[in-house]
Amino acid sequence: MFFKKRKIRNNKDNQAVTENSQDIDQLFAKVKKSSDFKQFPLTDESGHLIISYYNTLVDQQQLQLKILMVFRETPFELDRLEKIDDIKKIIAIEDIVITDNRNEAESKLLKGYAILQMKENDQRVALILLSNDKAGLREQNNVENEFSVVGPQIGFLENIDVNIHLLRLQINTTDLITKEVNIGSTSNTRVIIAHIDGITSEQHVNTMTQRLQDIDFDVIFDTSQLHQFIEDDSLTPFPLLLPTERVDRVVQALINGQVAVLSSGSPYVITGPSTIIDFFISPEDYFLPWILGSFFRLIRVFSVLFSIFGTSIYIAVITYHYEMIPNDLFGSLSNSRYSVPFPPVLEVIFLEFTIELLREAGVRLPTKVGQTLGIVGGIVIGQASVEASLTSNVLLIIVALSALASFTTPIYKMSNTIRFLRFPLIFFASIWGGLGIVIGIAFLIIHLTRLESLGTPYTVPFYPFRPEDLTDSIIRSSYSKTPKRPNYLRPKSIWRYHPHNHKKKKSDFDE
Amino acid sequence: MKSLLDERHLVSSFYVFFLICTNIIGIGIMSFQRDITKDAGYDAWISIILSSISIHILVWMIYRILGIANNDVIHVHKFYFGKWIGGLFNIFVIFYFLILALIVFRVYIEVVQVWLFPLMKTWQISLILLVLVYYIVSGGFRVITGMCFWGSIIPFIILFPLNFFSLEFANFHNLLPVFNHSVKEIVSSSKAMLFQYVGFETLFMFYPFIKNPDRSQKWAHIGLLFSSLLYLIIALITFVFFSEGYLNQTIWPTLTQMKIAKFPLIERVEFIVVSIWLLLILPNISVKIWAGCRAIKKVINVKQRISLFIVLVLFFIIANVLKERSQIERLNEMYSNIAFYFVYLYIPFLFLYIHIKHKITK
Repeated sequence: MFFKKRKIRNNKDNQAVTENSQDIDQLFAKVKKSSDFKQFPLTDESGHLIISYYNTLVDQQQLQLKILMVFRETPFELDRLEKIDDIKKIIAIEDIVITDNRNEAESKLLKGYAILQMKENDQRVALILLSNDKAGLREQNNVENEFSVVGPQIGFLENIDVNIHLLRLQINTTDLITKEVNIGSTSNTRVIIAHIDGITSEQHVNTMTQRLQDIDFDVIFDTSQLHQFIEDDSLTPFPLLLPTERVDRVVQALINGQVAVLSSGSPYVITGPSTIIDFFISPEDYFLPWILGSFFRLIRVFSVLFSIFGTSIYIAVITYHYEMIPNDLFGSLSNSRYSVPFPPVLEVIFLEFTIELLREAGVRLPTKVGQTLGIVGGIVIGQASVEASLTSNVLLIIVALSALASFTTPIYKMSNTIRFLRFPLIFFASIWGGLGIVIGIAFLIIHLTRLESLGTPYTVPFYPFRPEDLTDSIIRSSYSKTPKRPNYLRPKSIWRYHPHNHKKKKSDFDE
Repeated sequence: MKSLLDERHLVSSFYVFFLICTNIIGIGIMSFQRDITKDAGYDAWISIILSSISIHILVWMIYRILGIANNDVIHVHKFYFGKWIGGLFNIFVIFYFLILALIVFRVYIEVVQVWLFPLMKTWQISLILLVLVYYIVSGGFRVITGMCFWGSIIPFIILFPLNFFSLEFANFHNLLPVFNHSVKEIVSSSKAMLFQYVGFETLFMFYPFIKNPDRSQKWAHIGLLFSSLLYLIIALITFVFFSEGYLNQTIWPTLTQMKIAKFPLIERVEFIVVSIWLLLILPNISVKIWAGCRAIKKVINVKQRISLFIVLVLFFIIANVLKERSQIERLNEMYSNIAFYFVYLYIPFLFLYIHIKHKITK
């Protein structure tokens, strides 16, 4: 509601501006203040055929080849050009717009169009596309943050047209629909909502479009900002939509009936509605044989559980429930803690803080320094703090393992969430021991059950329980078992492909 | 059969299974063995079966009653008994659910204090638990059902297998001779067993929240069957593990028999058991409190958010006032008497009354 009201007000402001200054000259008066704005007549005759553009936004080569050459080099017959509309016949560029609308001229000028006027003060102008939108953008599109060993290594780029091109390469059908909206009052960013017609439920597309259109913000840097605006619930550490830089992941999501949102200038694409298990699925699972894929997926799920609960269980057991430790283990545990003067909570918080510090520092530092830092942090600080009796050996192992385990999550946003979740559990465990951990678990379960992503429950297919969708959740079943799209996405057609029915004729062993 | 509520708030009929299970198996499963063996000795497993059968019949009756009205019991009371008598019944229903929740809540706190933290103050644990309950109930019925789902699956997977470790020391002769108690003894033990099933009446309140309620009856019966099987298995394990004299001295036999389990990494699993048991207790309390608050809303039209808050504050106060075990026991006894009459007299009465009325008006 808040956003909507502001939007309406903004529109009114804009209208007021257009009514006052229809004049294209006023536009020129404004843009001339910038040093990179150029305006000059194309012919010798001054005040005739004036071209104006931002020097920094247009492609110089195109300008010379397609426009200057035409008017300057060959003897130019002026009589061929009587009206401005005739310009289309002379200049060999496909995107030429003739308009007398000042606002359109302004927005196109900023997108890298050149304005051509027949005479000075002419209201009717031609807008010629000369933009150079690849300049300054990254060319390399290797996957960097969601790396996989097997499978394609293609990621998205900052250039939205290239991203759509990458999608169209694999979803080679006219059903792939891209809907464009402009968001950001200053940046005027192109945002594209992609879905596959005939598969994706209209409801998801509409919700996504509606929420995107309601956004009122000045500059959109990245899709992760959009993500925060369109989430169902912002009071949660969990990402409710899935951000990814991998092309195969987005293709998979679209094929299953999800919606993808691309934004110009962002190499991350968000897909939704997503469920919690989506964040633990790596595309690599689908490239490995299903048994291995399922095994690694299970390892991922368990490592996440360990990463969340490892240190809090340590605190609970050492502080309150030492009766639970068997005799044989007790000796080695108490030996390692013998000279540590702190209560387990402080010990854990100290070590967890160190690990978080290393991580945060490792991300900010340049790659080469970062590696050294990892070694210094991991080995030197760890060993030294044990020798200085600040922490116990056992805890060092647990903290290091749980840090390692949290890296197995394929999606970075989710691994951040897991990093965060540890701390409330440490808090509960230090107050109420094992009961505290279960209280934390209960909070977590209730919270997850309450969450929704674009109106779809976040914990589906577990709750609401959908046994038919379980084939590709914790376990990645073989391709012959997963020919259907997940039901909870309410796709318009349920079959993805039809597996060959090579029925086993033999019901007995070979004789 | 069109539902009265928005589709968004409904749960599918399959979840009635979990709702019934978590509502029945709450606090009782840890301690019911002693109560039922008081009269019938080690023939008490027969009374588990008998009371289970009777509850099946009652569930069938509830479905008939609500099927005719296609609404909850508050509406039934208002519609068939008029504003005043119906209102009186409704107030009774509100207290019936809330006090049941209170008993479960207070007994669980007691278990925590006995088994986990003897020095823990009641107000600390009750405060955090009530915050949890508020978080669940304020999420609406779908969230409560979700909690029932997780709260029956996780404890079942982790806790139920622990019972079997005590079979190592089983003495199967404890069960013999069979049938050496009189019918009267077995019936009175069945009456004691009834209190363990109390809670299934919340069906009276959540019936309108089920998608295709007429198809859910199957799941209600399966849920009931499942929980009575659970009672039966645990009782049988207890009977072969404990001698009768020893069982009479044990307040929480199920916990004691689970204690036997030992793993290379963990000993003394009762700490885990009591903690994880919370996941079962939470939905159990929440459904009843939700039922109470929903009834309050329908009777005097107070927002559930407000009534829930008031109820939880009252819970907090009463849980702290009830200090002694004897007080809790007395409340428990009083309540089980009321529950007995409510379940075995009132439900059949309502069933007959509504059927007759229905026939006449037709």
